[in-house]
Amino acid sequence: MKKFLTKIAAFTLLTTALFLIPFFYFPNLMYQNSILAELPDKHKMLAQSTSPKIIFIGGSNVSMGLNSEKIADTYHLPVVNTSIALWLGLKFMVNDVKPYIKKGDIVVISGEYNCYDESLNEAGFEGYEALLTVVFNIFPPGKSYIDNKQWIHLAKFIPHYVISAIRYSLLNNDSERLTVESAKKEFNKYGDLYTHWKQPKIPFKPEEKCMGNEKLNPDVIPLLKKFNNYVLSKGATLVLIPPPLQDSSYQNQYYVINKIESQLKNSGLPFIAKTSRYELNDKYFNDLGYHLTKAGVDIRTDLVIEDLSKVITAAKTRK
Amino acid sequence: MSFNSLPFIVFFVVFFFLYWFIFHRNLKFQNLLILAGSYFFYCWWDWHFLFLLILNSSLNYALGYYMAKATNQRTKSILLYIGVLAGVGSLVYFKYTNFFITSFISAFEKIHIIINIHTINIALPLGISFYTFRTLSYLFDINKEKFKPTSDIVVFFSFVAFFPCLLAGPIDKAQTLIPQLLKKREFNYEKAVDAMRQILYGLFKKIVIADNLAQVTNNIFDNYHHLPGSTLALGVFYYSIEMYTDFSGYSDMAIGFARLIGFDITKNFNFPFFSQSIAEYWRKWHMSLTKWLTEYLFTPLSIALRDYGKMGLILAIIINLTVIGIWHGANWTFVLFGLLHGIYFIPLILKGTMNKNKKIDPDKLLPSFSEFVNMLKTFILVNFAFIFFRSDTVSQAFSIIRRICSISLIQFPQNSKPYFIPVIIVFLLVEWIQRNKQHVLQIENIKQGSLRWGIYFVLFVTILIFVSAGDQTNNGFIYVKF
Amino acid sequence: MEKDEILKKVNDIFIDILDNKDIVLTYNTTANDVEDWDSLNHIQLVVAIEKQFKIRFTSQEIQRWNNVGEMLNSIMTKIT
Repeated sequence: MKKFLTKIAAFTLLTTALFLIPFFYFPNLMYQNSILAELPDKHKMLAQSTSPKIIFIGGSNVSMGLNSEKIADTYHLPVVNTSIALWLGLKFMVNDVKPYIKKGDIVVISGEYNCYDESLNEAGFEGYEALLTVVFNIFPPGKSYIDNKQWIHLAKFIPHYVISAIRYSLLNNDSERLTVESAKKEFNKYGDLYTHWKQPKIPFKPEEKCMGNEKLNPDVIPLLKKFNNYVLSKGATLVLIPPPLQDSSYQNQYYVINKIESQLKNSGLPFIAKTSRYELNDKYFNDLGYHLTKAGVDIRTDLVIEDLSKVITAAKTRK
Repeated sequence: MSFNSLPFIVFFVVFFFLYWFIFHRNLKFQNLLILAGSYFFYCWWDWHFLFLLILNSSLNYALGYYMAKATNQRTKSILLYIGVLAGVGSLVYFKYTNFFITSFISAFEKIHIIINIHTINIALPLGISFYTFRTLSYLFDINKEKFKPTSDIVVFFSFVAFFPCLLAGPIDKAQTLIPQLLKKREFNYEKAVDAMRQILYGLFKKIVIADNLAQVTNNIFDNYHHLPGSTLALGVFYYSIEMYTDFSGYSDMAIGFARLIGFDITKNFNFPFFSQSIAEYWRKWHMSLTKWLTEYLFTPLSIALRDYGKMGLILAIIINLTVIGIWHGANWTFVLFGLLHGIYFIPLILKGTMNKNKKIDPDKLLPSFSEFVNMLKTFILVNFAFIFFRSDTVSQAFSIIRRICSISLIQFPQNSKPYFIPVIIVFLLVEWIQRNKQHVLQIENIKQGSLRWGIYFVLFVTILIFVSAGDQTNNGFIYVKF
Repeated sequence: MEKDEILKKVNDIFIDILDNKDIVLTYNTTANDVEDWDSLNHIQLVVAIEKQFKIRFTSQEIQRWNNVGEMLNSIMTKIT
């Protein structure tokens, strides 16, 4: 038995070392030189804008799907679109914005439905492989936001992370590679990923039909509640708005979306609009069910402006 | 928690230590731990149906006990019928009620009668197809006096709920597992090492091959209407390999985990794609299920129909294989799948050549040309039937077949990741070379330890790399580029 | 008829049905020991035996046999 256990232990340690050494030594340029590189700039935008301001949090549905300039002009308030992609996971996104919330701010969370359920193995909430690059290379202080559950969740990505890092480094074609500068240029001064508005439509498959046994991630609501309390303690306001989703995906995923909607309604959290309000025609979507064309961005922005009007008036009168 | 998940690994490691270090002292404790662990494992998936599992175990324990005590055959038979009714009844209720309802409704719709029954929301208890078959075999064997019932409740309940096999088999007979449960297990180094090899290989098949192929086949089968026949044909080929690697991989892991705690359980796959006839194929694919149905359905059926000569045998085979089809799920596609395989037997039965193909010499490196042709023929038949197995509806299956048989078969395949083909060929070659072993990674005959460890290393590292790869695809890397 | 005689006759039936001249049965032979003796051929063997000895087995009797010896015992009880 001793012999057996020693061999297993030796083997496991050796393999772990094989991955952990390059993990700490090799930066993952594939992620580092992607749109994630913009994260420190988003922090700058948050730090430098005056309060009261409107802060948007979410995945690519927010980064690509919002015309923040129009919102800023309508309400004469600074707007910061902090979102980049679902890769960061809702938990990190929320923790990342916390230090910058000040009195009078309006924080708007518009997370993809994947943040709330157990699809994608909870990565919509806990984060993906790319989050490793964020906390190790792009924004090291972000490590303090990662809790134990997330570390365990992220650990399984390490082997694939190492391989993708090595593979990307071996790519000789420099023109193929993004640089940090070019990645950052994709965003405008509000943080919108505005270059995506010019992307041509690519045919894509809508989300699959629900099986009817999908479960929700029980950790999401408690986190959002805690965040809401925090926001209120700062004298700011939090609201949750549904993400835009193409009609065919919405119909297929209705079982889960309905569950999420009921859960949010019953939680007491400030969920201020119906999910069906943001169910938009397939033609407004670009290359994924959450990614809007320019026409779609305009429609969605108008809906958001409408939905925020009461909130902003209330926030202004409170001042 | 499926075998390739972190919670299961944690569970098993804890279980392993408790089993061999703390509860090892006596048999009763060892078995209690197995039972507790198995129920814990089941509850993790779905505690709602634990009650049903316990009820099933209790009922069959009692029935077995009283059947052996019965003084006449009549009482014995009545008890047996109760058990069969309860077992098959619960299976039919949970698995097939909605199927019957919807088929019933659509059958009447075809003659323009609308029936207003709604399908009820019946959740399927996990593992019910497997543990029901375990308990039924227990009763059948007691009835045939091939096995004496056990009076040890913990042993019996553990036999029914044995966690390595609870979710996807193999389906052990009572004779296989209960005697082992009645003896204290001792740790055996060679067995444990070989078990680890088997688990490693099973994991490799599942995570590296099956899960990757699944992404391609799902895409192909979901978009079949606009794909050329060549892509569809390739998709079917991929699906056969996917089914094999997925299921045999899982079985390898189940067998490996059982061996790590000292149990030798039924083999479930014996390199079925190297079969030279459909009869041989079914002796090598999902062996525990085939053996079960052969012994408890086919044999009594063929005996009852023996006066009808070859026709009787054909009918028995068709019924048997249709049941195998239906066992997999409640859909007409599964019925057709089974029926088709039954029909495949007809030429064999009529020609009386069911076993004419001599077994391939185990020492030969390459098959002869005719052996290869036979394997290819069988493989094609199997692939064809898998079209039905995989399709969601019968019309989808026929649509796919039509497209494959059309001129688009000579179009170049699209979106089909053809680099899988060399990988699959290498895989099949390795399987061929190791076809006479208990499992492919039984490589203790390789003398150089460094070579063996190198192989384990490469396999393990590959598995780790692919473990999280599946999570990424939904989210793609589209945005990385711009 | 003596048991040995029956064994010889049954052996001939096996050779004929399974088309294998090398089959030599003993009382302890089981299906695992004879290549090609499987569930598909089993029933043909049974039918041939029933024809040869002009007897009829019940389904339970047939399923109870664990080896050739027990099969022969069944045959013997039927023909006496």
